[in-house]
Amino acid sequence: MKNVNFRLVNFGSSRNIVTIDGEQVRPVKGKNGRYDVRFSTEKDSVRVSIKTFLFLDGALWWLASIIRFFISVFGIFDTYENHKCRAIIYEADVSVQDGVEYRVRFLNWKEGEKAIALDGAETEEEKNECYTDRRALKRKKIMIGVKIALGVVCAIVAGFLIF
Amino acid sequence: MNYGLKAHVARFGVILSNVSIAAICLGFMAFLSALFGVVVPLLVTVAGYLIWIVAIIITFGMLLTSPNFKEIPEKLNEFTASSGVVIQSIFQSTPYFLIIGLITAVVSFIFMCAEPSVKKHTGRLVFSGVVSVLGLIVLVMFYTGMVSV
Repeated sequence: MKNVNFRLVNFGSSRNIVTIDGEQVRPVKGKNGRYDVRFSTEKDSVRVSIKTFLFLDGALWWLASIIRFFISVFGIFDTYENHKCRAIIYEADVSVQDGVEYRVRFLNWKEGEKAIALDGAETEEEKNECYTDRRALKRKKIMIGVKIALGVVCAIVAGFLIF
Repeated sequence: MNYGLKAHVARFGVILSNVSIAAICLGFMAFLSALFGVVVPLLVTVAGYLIWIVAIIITFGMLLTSPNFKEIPEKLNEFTASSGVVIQSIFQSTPYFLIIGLITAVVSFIFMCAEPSVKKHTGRLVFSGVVSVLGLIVLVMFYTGMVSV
């Protein structure tokens, strides 16, 4: 059994989903603001996948957006997470050794460039890219229109009720 | 629950936390204005004009094309001028603001615990916890008659 540690550098407070061999893992905060992913495996190489979660990427994105719009009192109390729909994707087979700590560096986001650098391990990268999720961006624009329409309707109704 | 659902629930929690902050502020402002009687009339006047400006912006100024638009600010002024009634109504609605703040604080506390990412929301969780306790105490004070409106 090999005990392996991935030290995530510059992970920040991003909504990146980390999976190892198809199993989702939650990074643990260590000292000096670093995050660690510790796991045990009997394999010589593991499949590492890191992908950004976007709120407009799910199945019921429109329903969640509308509920959020009303709960947040017409978007006033909403939070603006990743409004530019910037995402990263990383998929690679990583050779691992027992007791070794590997540094997974999250690079600065630049469209079309590498998202992650994994130091100290042999990797076979399939995907490693920073990208803007066009579908989410399109959905965001649709929702802006819907929210404006809903806001105007509510304002007109409120106007009739008040005056 | 999968990651997506948890993330949505956690975000709802953050939104409700924002709502609870606003509700608690309103509730306690009215509560504290028993000591500082200037705060509420001033806020009500400012809020009245803000509502008027927002209404103009939202209707793209179409409100101004209304033949009796000049009467609306006058009515608004009359409304805000009658601050005694407004203050009284705000005082009376204080428990409702506190109830909204309390409920949203409790729900947001539960929802934010579902956060699947590395975000901790420590400050918000502490605030919601404190608000839940304080709000409960103030509500008990209201309903037992220790504080009256």
